[in-house]
This record gives sequence, structure tokens and C-alpha cells, in this order.
Amino acid sequence: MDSRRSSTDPLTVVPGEIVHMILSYLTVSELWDLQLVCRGWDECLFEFFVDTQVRHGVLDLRKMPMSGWRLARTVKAARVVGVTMAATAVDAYMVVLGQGQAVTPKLSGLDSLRRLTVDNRFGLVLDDWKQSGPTSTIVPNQLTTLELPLVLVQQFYEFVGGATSPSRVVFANLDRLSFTSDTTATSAQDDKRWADFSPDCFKRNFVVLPAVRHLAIVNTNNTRAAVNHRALDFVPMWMPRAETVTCVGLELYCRRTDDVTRDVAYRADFSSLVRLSAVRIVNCQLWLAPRLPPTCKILCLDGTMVRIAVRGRPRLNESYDAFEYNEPRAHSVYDRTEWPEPNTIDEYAGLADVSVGNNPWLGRFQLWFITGQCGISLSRLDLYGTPLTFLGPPQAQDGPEYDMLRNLIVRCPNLEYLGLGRQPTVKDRHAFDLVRLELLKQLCLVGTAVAYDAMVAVLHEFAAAGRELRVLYYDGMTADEHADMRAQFAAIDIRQEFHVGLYYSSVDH
Amino acid sequence: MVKLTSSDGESFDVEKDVAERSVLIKNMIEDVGDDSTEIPIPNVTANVLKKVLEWCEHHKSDPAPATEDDTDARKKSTDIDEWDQKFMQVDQEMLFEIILAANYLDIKALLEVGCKTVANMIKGKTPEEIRRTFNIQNDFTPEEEAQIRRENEWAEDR
Repeated sequence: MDSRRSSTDPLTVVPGEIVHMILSYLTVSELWDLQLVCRGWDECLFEFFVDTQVRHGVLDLRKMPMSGWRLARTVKAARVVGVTMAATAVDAYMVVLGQGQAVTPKLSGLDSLRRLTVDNRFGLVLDDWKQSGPTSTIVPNQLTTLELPLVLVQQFYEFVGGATSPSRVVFANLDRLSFTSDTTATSAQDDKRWADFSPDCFKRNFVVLPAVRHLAIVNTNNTRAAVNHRALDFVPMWMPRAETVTCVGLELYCRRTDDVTRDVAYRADFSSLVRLSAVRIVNCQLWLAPRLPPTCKILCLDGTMVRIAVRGRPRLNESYDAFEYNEPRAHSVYDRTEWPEPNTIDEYAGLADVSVGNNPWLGRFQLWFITGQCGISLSRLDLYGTPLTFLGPPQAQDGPEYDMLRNLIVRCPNLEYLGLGRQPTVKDRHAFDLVRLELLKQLCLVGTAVAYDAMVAVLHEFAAAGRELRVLYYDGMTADEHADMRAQFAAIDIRQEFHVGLYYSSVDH
Repeated sequence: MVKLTSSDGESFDVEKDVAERSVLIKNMIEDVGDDSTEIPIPNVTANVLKKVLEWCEHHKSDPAPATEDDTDARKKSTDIDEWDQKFMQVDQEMLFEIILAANYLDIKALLEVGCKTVANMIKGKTPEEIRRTFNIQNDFTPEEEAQIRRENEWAEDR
């Protein structure tokens, strides 16, 4: 083959869409080299990026080998609705979001911008916006999704507060607000930010983001951000229409000295949020389980240490396993009047889906507190990896009922899903007890001490009792036994693997 | 059998399942509803059509094109199977003619092979080598070239 003889510039012979197809097989660095070939290819690459990157109106600056001025052209041409930025793309990002003083084309009209994901440098842009005023066209007032680092929370709040007037609300359409881990700051800086973010901030400006329905505060750094309770205090005031609240990796109990001296247990209070439907507080530390409105259906406390006060006040500096402190003596019987807050005793009554997985700190009383209130409304309960150490021996006739599982079955008879995975204390007899759950559709017994023979017997009992069990997660068997079991119980989907929830992974190791 | 006529008037008798590798021809046959009519292929010359049909003949029993889910996975790889590699060892003019014909006739798999072949000609080459491969004149001034390099420095750690 002699390609030299008949070599042809592909650009001159094939149409643009085929050139784009060819380019799609190249890596970013190969495209980079192409840019330097000639003007024609440079132009073509520009179009290619517009075509691929901005086709859906979303600009991902992490994949964009393009300089600031080219990007400004792209943005103008494409009417971007979302921007994701990486630390390296700061020039281009400033062109898109800021005034772009450094680079010639001035950008205006970010009205089409809907989604924005930014890192720490967003602080500079906020300053920029503040100077230009809230009505400036460089402020993307149509944003519906904003994700910004935790450290910028106060700056963001003050921008919104400074720009809001009685007749005007900035970010009036903001639906989803996420605070994410900071990429560079240490937890000490986070600490300071949150300490600064005090109620004084509220006294100066009272800010409402009326459209926010989903709030997430996610710290995925290895350290827990020492965010004190203010983070959650603000939610009801700041976002009165919140429907979901998600917190990951935060410390949410009192840390301030005056709180300590007054020995006040902090309790996040969402009860004024009349639209709240789901609260997920994952891998955090809480003093008390949050207070919820009756609309709330989902509560997830996976990996979250909750020190629910049972009776008396919690003491500070007690160790994780100090729940005994509040425990009644062995022969006392619990009743509702013993709870410290009789007025709010039913606040969890509406919960249908509760998850307290991977929670080695979960005490018997916490589970009692939650399930005792949900009772008949509870249809899903996941206790994966939460050792119920109080499962206990079968009780004598006259003794108090100490078997956690039996209590649970009595209190929550309408469970459709029960997850008891990774609980070695769950034994054969516990599995037999589960037959009492008339509505049980899914059951997780992965990593329990339930033996294969017992499991088969249990399934026979389920069948005999007319239970419609559909999915079983169970791994205490060989492959042959698995096949046998499947053959015997064709109606049940028997799986050996159980995939734990989204945030479990960081607790698991 | 189906009769195809190239733009320069040459006719080819082709088995129906070979011809139907082309979505365009397949649709035409369905529209006409009669296998015996001649189907004109006005955009493809005889020598190119011959090549394309050779490819269709070899791939006539390939499984149906992959679903959308697979396309991403395939996109990453520029691997071409051996027969196709040999098939694509033609001069550049013919290569682009085949790509254009595959595009016109709507033969997705052949179009992909063609694009991968061109992508492989670009892969791993410096800008200067790419220019030589495709006989492209560098119309940047040295200053412009330096400027592009400088402007894009922020993304150098790509």
C-alpha cells in the first residue's frame, strides 16, 4: 500500500459527521495533537467538542482540551445548561462563569444554565457575582441544580442573602442543592467554616431558597467534617419545602463549649418541613435521632452513631458502649410513659422504610425507639451488619421478653422486607420465627448463622403457611445446595449475593 | 438474487442476504416488494461497490448489529479483526470511498471499520507525522502554533 501517492486530507473528502465518528475513537491526548495539524483540523476539533460535549447542553470541563477563548465561543454557540468543572480547568471556567477579564470575549446571558458543579474556586466567581449585582446577566438565575464545596457554604449564603430583597429572590428555581467535600481544605478548615457559620449569619440576612426540594451535605473525605448542628438547624428555615435531606460523613452533635457546659443534647428538628419524605443521615454522628414530620416515610441511619436518650440526659464523653447507663434493670418492663418526650412519642409513626445498617453502635433501645413507633406502618427494615447483640436466649415463661427479633415481629407485623444480613447472632430458631411475618416478600439472611437444613425447613414452613416470599438472600450453602434449593422452591428468587446500600462501602473496611 | 447497478452503469448480481447488509438496500427491497427489479446505487462507482459487496459477502452471516448498550464499549477499542484489516489495505482514496459508500448504503459495521482504520492512522503520531500521512499543509504561523500550545497549557496534565 502506498498511501503517500494518494494521500488525502480526510476533512476534504468525508462529511463532518464521519470525521466526528473517526475522532470518537481517539483519546483526548491524540485529539490534542490533531489540534496542531492545521487550521482546518483545529476548527474541526472545535466543532467536535461542541458536538460531543455540549450536545446535551452539559459542559464537562474535565474532558475539554480547549483554551479559554475557544470555550467562550463554544458556550455562546451552544447555550450550555450545565457545567462541571475540574481544578485544572479554571481559566475556561472563569470564562464561562465569570466576567472573563483575562480573556477577550465577554460572556453574558447565563440564563440557560441549569446545572452547575463547581470546586473551591467558585468563591472567586461568587465575589464576581456579588460585585455585578444579583440582576446581572452573569448570574445564572435559572439554575435548578447546584453542587458546591462545603467550605463555600457561608459565602454562598451571604451572596444569596445579600442579593435577596422582598421583591426578588435569587435562585428562585433552585431545586437541588448539594454541598460536597472540599477538594483541598483540611477538616480543620471545614471546622472553622462551620464555626463561623453561626446564627449571626442568619441575623444579618434571612434567606429562603423557596424551591429547594433536595438538600445533600456530603463529606466523602476520610475525616468527618466537624460540622456542628447548625448545618441541620438551617434546613427548616432555609429550605422550607425540602423533601429529601441527605447527610453523609458529618458530626452533628454539639461541640460548642457553652452547649457542653449546659449539657444540652442537640436534636435535629425537621418537624416543620411539611413536605419532607426522606431523611438519610449516613456515616454521621448524631446525639439524638432527628425529629420528623408525619409525612416522612423513609429514614436511613446507616453507619450513623445515634445516642438516643432513653431516660435521663446523655452524658458527654461517654464511650460508645455506654448505653447501659440508661438501661433499666433486667426485669423491668418498658412502656411508653418511660420515654422522655411523651408528646412526641408518635413522631415516627409514619415511617415505612427504615434502614439502620452497618451500625455497630445501635443499641436495643434505639431500635425499640424507632420500631416501637413505626409499628404497623413499617414495611421495610434493614439491619444489615448491625449486630443485634440482645437477640438473647429463649425466655422462661414468666420472664420479660428479651428476644429482639420476636419483639420486632410483634411490633412490626407488616414487614415486607427484613434485612438481617451479616448478623452472626441470628440463628436457626430466629429464622423459624420469621414465619410469623405474614407479608414478608424479601428476606436477607446473608452472613448469618442459619444452617442450610434449617433454611430449607424454614422455607417449607413459609410455603405451608402460604407466605409469598419472593426473594431470599442467603449464602450458607454450597453451589449444589443452592441449585437444590432453587429446584425445590421455584417461586423464590434465591440469591447468594446481597448488595448493600450506596454508602455502606465506606464503613465496610 | 438482487441486481444492483452502480453509478457508472455496471450491474452486480448479489444474494439477497448479502445485499441486505445494507440497510438502504434492505429498505428499498422492502419498498419495491419485488426481488427481480434492478436497484440503482447512484452514489457508488463500480470499483467501490465491488469492494463493499466483497465485505458484505464475507460478513453476511454476522450476528445482527449490537444494541445501543454495546456501542460505548466498542467505541473505546480500535481493534479490527484480521480479515477486515487486510480488506482495508487500500489506498487512501479507496478507503474514503468505502467509508462514504458505507455511510450512504447505511452499513454500520463497515462504516465503523473504516473510521477505526482512519483513527489508527492518526493514533500515536505527532502533528507533523499526521500532516505527512494525509498530505496536509501546515498553515499555522510559528507564532500561532506556539500560542495554541501556550493557551492550552492548563490542560497539559490531561
